[in-house]
Amino acid sequence: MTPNRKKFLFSYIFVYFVVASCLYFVLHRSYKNFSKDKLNYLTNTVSKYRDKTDNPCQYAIRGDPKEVGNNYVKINFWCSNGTAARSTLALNAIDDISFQGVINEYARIINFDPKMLVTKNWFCFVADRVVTDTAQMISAADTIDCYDKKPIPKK
Amino acid sequence: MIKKIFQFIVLFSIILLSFSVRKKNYSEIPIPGQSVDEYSYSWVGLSLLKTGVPVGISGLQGNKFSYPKYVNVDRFFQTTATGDPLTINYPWLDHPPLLGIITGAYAHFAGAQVFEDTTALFIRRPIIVIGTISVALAMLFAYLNYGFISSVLVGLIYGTTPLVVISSRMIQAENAVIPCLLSCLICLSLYFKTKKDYWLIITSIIAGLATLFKLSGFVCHLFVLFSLLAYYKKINKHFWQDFCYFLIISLPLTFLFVIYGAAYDIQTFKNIVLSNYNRFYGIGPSLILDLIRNQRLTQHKFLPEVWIILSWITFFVWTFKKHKKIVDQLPIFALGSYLIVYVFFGSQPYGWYAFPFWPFLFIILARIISLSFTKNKYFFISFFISLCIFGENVSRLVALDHFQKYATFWRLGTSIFIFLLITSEILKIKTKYIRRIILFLFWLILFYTNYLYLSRINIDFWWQNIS
Repeated sequence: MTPNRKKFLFSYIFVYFVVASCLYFVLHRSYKNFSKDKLNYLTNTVSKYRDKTDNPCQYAIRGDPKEVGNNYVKINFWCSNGTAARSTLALNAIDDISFQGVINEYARIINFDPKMLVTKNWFCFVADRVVTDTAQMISAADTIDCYDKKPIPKK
Repeated sequence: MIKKIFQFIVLFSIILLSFSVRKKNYSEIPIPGQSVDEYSYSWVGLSLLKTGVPVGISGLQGNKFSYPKYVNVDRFFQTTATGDPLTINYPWLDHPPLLGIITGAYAHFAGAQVFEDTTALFIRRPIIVIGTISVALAMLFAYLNYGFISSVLVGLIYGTTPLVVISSRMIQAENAVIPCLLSCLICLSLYFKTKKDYWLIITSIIAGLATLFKLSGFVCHLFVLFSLLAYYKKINKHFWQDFCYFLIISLPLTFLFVIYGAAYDIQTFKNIVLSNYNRFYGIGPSLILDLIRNQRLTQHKFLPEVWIILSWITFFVWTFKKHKKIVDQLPIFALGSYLIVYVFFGSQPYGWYAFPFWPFLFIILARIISLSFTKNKYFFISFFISLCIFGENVSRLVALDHFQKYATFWRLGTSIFIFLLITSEILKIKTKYIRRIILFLFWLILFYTNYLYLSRINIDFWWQNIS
């Protein structure tokens, strides 16, 4: 090996060890300080660039979850103008599986204000029963139906 | 001097054209969410910058923390998603983080704060610049080693081939490995010409960086090995001196990925590497034939591209010929090296695994066409290729029903031309200039029809005709 090559390699390896050591310690320290809160902020915060809708019938989640068996909940929004949004959510992707928790998560995904269901007098049902307690738990394969006008009871 | 200025203007215009066709509708086509890897890479970079820990999407076993989540970036759960939530993992160690750092950092500085902010509009900007750099590097290699005409041709082919343009908008590590491999070709060819050490040093650093985009960047190491073997013609002292020098510089850079993995969790890193190795070999035993006849964008999105299929034919023609100059062999070594990587690292037949073959196929195609322009060699194959591409480009633009009114012109014109071509070849009639003019006109039309087709591809055209 020529002296020039030796000289270069010596400097290169010295710089490399300094950089590699710094990299290791900085990343290791970050991992130790990492928290679920930081992660939730990244994954759960709705983008400021995404349009917010006031019409839950505008968007639905496409397709059905295939890898969860019957651990899902169907969410249907029915509007009196004839439009509807019919979605299926995997329950394992939702932390709080109460009625309110599921609606909050769905509203986060679609980007509408879940309080709207109360302020605009939506009528919601879980498995064809009127929701009286929003803290009620959702079971696997349940269906949530919400109507913007009081539905005519089925005969 | 005037000649050089003219050449510079032409080459620079081609680079601008390549950039402009890549930029048009880049955030719409390919449809965001058709490959969630695009988001994953950017999330890795963004989370590294925000928290110091890489968070991304992975389907691999061995991840320490894994949970399902709906992150509706680009509203892709309303358009292309299949219904399942995304599997979020941390620390995400599936691949080295360099591409994620580039796209994630760009998104961060453009204002992205959370994962949902990383829309295709932001994150694809750096990759279209990288795609344009790849075109410029392919042109530079051709210019330095084959001349101006080859450089123009490779720029126009690689810059305007529709599938290549669309594919180069995708955030896939292969799109970042391509400029690395092209840079290795350029630097190594300059090292062979000048014997200056710094060209070998730059080659080594780029080869090391390529593996920080994806481990398949190891293709650069294989390429250097083959090229040095061909240059020295045997394994001698000089070969070992150069190759060891190259490895001492490049391998520590690759090893940074191990240090990166160890900083988070060496056991998880080991599990993920093993899990990556044991992936389902979905490309199957017919992978090479599939590579030639089926071009894809994602796993299931087939977009056969006549330019690529015919470039494989020229590759075989070029391989069978004995080359005296090492620079004529370099694209073959690059292709051969990537073929080894493709076979070895192969898993599912995702379209992007094949992207790195294309610039080298086009370099060979451009070389053959330029030889038929300048030295009247390979004229028959050049004509055959031109005719095939012309036919396919026309059929992309004109529906078969509409074509019927031109059918008489087509069958008369094409058959008479083939007849005259064969006759002139048998009778040894000197038609060098006529041939050049015809080929020149043909290729003008080919690039124009490429451009026309590309300008038609918008979201409606995609859903109605391609998707």
